[in-house]
Amino acid sequence: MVLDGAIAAGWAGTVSLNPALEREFEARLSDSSRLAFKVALSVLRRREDAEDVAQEAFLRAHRSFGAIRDRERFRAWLVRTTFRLALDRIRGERRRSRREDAVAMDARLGEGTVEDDVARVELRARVAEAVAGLPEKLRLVTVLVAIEEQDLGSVARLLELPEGTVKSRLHRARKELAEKLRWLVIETPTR
Amino acid sequence: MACDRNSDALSDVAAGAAASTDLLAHLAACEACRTELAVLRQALAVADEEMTRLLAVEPRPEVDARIRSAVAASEPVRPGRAGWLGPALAAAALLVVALAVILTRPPSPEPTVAVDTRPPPPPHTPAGESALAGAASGSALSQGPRPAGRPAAPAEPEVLVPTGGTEALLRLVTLVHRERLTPAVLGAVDRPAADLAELRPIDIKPLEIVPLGAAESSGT
Repeated sequence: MVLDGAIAAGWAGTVSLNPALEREFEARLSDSSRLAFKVALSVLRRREDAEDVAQEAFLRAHRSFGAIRDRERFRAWLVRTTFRLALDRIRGERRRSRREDAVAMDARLGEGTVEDDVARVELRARVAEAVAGLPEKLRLVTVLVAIEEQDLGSVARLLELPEGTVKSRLHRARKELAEKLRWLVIETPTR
Repeated sequence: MACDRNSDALSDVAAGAAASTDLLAHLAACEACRTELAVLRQALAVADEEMTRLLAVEPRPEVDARIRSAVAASEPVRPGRAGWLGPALAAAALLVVALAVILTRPPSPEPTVAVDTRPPPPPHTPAGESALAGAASGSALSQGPRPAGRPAAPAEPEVLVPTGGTEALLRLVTLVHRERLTPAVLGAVDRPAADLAELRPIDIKPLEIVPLGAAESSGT
């Protein structure tokens, strides 16, 4: 996955945009911050972390805004950049320590018995692990299809790919997920 | 346990592909494969449910304002502060120097290279002999041209520097490394690399190997 040149250069600051560009950037921010958040959340699984990564993605977008001001191009760039930043962040965290993110992000535990909670945490961890184990391009398609509520055309535009390619990747991803998770169903027949 | 020959097809169907007529006929007759297909579909349902649950989390309302503040607080890039400018200037200057050396060098029938790491020659030494650099093995200029396409051996020197030019080259490399190279610190020398034209191979006599046992016995 290729990032924008300005990101690779690692500039220290941001450029000053003229007022017209600032207004456009503001429109993109209002339009797409939720998208960036959801992409980051799908990887990081914690709201605070996802917000941090979305912010970082927009800081970088501001630096490169002259080249990505078109709405479709901007959203495609934002998705790629946010996904990459989120992956980098979670890999860095895993190097430092393994975290039980399934527990940390879930505020709805405790509705049933302790055994239920344990089983639910285990289930979510396994599903997250299976999704994380997909090749990156399959993983991103899976996430975006969920975010865009199964609208493959929208996902194709976000990825700047033909819709047929998106469909093919989604099929491969779901096939792989089904095979990875089948044992989970067999072991816990009464969910 | 599903029939082995159908496991891949069952995964395809679970993932959304249409089942072939043959597979449908088999499923009608094989309970194990029907069960396996149900398991695969349920596994995907679990994954979809978890993804939906995760993505139901929304950002806090103040996130956009926080991003705006972060953008406004980030330091603007001023002209001349771009990180790539220094290295780019340094690389360009180094290229100019390298081209000058190459273009002023007379044609040689033996296109080999050498590095002069030795100090300038004493006054009584002929210039031609002293200018041969890096020839500890004596082979850099005496081996003749290498066959085309054959890479240089790692041990061979790769840069030919005029006698007395080593210090200047090292200073240049240091400036490039420290990103302090500017046009102002470069001084042009309008003098051809005459020393290079006088390079000649030197002869190194073969090493005389004295057996260790003989040396010890003669010492005792």
